[in-house]
Amino acid sequence: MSFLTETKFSFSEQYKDEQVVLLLRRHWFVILIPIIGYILLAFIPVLIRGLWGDIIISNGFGSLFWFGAAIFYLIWWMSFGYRIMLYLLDVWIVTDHRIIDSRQLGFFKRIVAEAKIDKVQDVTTRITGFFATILKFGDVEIQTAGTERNFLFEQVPDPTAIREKILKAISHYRRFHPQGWENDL
Amino acid sequence: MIFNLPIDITPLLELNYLALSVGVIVAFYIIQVFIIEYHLIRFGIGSHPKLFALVFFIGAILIFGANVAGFYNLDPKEIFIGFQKLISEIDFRIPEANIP
Repeated sequence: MSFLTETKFSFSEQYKDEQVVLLLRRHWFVILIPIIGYILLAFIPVLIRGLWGDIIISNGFGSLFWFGAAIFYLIWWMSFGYRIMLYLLDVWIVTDHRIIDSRQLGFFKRIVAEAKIDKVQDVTTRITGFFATILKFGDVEIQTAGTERNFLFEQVPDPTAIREKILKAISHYRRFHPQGWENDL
Repeated sequence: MIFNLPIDITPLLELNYLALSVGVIVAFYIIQVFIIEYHLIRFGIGSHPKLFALVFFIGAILIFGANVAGFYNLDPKEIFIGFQKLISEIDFRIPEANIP
């Protein structure tokens, strides 16, 4: 089962010899609130059974109730899986060559944007809110030069450490690839 | 004008619509589970999406099994009697106006 725990963070568009420096998802607190919501939703059939169980069974709707509950859990599980899938597939990757923003906005809508790491001009971190301060998560804004788009890593854990790692990756890249991106591939 | 079309609708009336609607829901469910699994395995980076794909797959099978069991335990006769009993207990009379 080691394939489920050990990973090299490889991805489909990865270049040869390209190393992943950071793989970022939103902080776990962001997904915790929907998960609590789903857990509470899961108690609805149990609650109905507790409140009106005797009436339901005495009227001969026992089997219908259990079947309805099974259908409810079917829809619940689908919706839960979909929500977690969106969370897991929303990633930001910092490699030793590029910054990639990969967003899953639905089953059939996926947006992937990337910028060369040597085009990064400025990295800003922003921590706002009570929970963000306590749990140390926030936004990292990356401004790039020229026509390349800017990047916003939203609600990522430990933004200060991320900024430092990005800046380190940029200086490392510039030191070892003074010729630039095109000559590097 | 009356058209006498040589169409027999008896098979349509004899269809088990409950089984059919459950079949549609289950088919939709299987397709959605497949799409979620596909996305997690195809686009997931790192170990977390794969781990969740496994958990989601096991959960999907268990819930599917619960649905199959629930469907086979359905007793339409019992439900019909229950509804009949419920309807008979409802008082459909219009209450008399209470004018002083």
